[in-house]
Amino acid sequence: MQIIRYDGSFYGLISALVPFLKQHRLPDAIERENERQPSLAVAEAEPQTTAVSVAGGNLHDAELFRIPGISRETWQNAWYAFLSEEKNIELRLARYLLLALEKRGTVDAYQTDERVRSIHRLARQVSVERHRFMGLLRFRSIGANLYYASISSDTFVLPVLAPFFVRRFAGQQWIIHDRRREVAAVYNLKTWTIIERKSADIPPDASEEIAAQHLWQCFFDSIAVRERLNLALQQKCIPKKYWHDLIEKPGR
Amino acid sequence: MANEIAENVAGHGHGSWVAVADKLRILSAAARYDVSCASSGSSRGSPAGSLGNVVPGGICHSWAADGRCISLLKVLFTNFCVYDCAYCMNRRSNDIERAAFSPSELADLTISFYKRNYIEGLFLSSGIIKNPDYTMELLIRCVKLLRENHGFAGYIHLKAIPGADPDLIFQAGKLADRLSVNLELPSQQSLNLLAPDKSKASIFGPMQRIRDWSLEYNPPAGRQRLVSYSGITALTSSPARHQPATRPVFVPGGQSTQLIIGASPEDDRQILTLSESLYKKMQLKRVYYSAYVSYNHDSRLPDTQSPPLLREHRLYQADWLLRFYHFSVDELFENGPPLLDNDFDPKIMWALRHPEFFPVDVNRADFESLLRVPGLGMISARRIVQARRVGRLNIEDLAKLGVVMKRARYFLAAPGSDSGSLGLDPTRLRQRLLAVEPPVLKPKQLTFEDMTGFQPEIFKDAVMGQF
Repeated sequence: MQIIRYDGSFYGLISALVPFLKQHRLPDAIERENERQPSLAVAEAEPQTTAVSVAGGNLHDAELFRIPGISRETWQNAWYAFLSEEKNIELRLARYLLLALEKRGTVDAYQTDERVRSIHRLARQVSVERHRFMGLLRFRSIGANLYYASISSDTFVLPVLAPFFVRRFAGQQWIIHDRRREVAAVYNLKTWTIIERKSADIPPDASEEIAAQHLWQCFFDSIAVRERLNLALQQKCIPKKYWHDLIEKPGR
Repeated sequence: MANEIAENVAGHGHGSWVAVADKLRILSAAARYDVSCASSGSSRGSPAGSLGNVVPGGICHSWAADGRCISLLKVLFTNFCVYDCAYCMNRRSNDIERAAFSPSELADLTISFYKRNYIEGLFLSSGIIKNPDYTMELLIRCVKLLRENHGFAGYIHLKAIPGADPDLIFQAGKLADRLSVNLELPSQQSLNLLAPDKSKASIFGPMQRIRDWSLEYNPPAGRQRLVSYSGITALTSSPARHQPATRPVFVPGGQSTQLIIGASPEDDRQILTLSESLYKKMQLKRVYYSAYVSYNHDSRLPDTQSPPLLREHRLYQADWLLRFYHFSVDELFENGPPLLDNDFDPKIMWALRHPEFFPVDVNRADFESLLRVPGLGMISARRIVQARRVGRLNIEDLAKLGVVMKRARYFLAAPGSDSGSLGLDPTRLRQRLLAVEPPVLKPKQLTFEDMTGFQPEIFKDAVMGQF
């Protein structure tokens, strides 16, 4: 019985898996030592780097990810699927990567194979949720050039979401708080990192912030075409689970 | 009165936010019948010190109560207007609340929304205040403030005001990601009747100029510019050396237009023929269709109770077929009336008239033929092509690929499929398909994100794709 233990990060998982993959076999079980170690997955990336460079490979040894037969696309799928935090994702990834080695770079064409299909599905889930939050995330101004947003995502999108906002709002300091996982991405104009953060003690909104929120709600209400009212479609596009962190009030 | 306001507008007076809220309420309501809200098709990096960027696929930030995506802060600069177009709620003869932003007010508002991630950028249109040139100048002043004073690198969609000086349109194009001139009515007769102050020339003129400038400033990759910016023929043979470090851009997101559907008597075929020629000849990125909402009581207009949403929806579907599925308008309407089918989407309509084309062999047919199969989209077709490289596909495999078989099963041949035994008799097929058609239609603007299996890179290809 061979059981792998890893630190909860993607890098840690891959480091532990590689020896098995190289011998073309699978461990019997994979266990997480910690619940989650996001900082080890992404660590401190430069503001301009994209998260696409696999799992903070810029900090860790990028050599680890250079395995003949496993393409960049395959790593990308693996990394996104990992963030889905689906049960037993580790073993599923191991099977997927092992197949990738067998198929020598063409693994992602085997979309009828359950091992590939499930990884693609999970990766897509994360990618779609990330894209959603690129639009639905709302910052509040909580100080001089300091902004705060809270989200509660089904998947752990923070490590792939934060770099987007680093590019977009490079000149603002911000915090994105994942309430469900009690972690936060913090950007200080130079670098960003993910830290543990249980609850946020956010100061009450200043008058300027209240004005901005009011103006947004006003725009949101008046842009809708009355004659075409379609609340069901609206709710389909913004599922209720996201309403809590929005400034605007859908559904009316 | 409009003149007084115009003077006031040109100044930089700052009202309290309550006053701004009032203007915002009026001027966003006045802009809501302009359907374009896309923030796509352009790409803008964020140089150091600037605010924001533009992603090619566009991002929806919210969805309004009508189910439409909110991506841009969509407002009119003012709803004062010297024109009196029959279909327009802002026409001179309507007794409505009027308002106007000042350039700095609107710039500040945009920045305040953008920094909070409410929007991708600004969509700015306007009623005609004083005259077209004056109006265009005000819009430019606002956008200049955004780009130059605020270092704003987000998305800006500007209206080119029909009749404005070409120099002003050019200036606007250097600042904006996308320009649009709204055609509104699909024929000269309808324009004469319903928008007597506008002419075809005042719309197509700027459209052509924008196209030509856009070709000059955004040459397709690998093609060398013949005329340099100063107008002198460039003789150098090295395009790489000739490219300045930061290439000046002109509406990187191209131009779009809008047609009102149902206010005038043109049929679907006429409308789509117009769109096709706009895509081909004017190289437009998008033609938007806006179901006519009757808010003016005017004897020249049909008195419709509800906007023709289904027709609008079908036109969008057909438009999609033109742009991404390599259909032509002539093909679509061949052997049939010049109207799209109410019961089925235009692809099924075409398929029912062309039984000889089907069934399409999943394992042999080329990509283009797969795209013609009802129920197969870009993503499914691409997956099929990819997956069959590594093995023959049977009917169960298709389901595993995520192909929706509800409609496709009647048109596909694959090992294990029963399409052969069903036959392709159009009348029988019509019955069968009607049975699976969803009873309630939810009209919407199609976006790639809605599709299952959304993949940003395919989305990007599709959005950037030329006709």
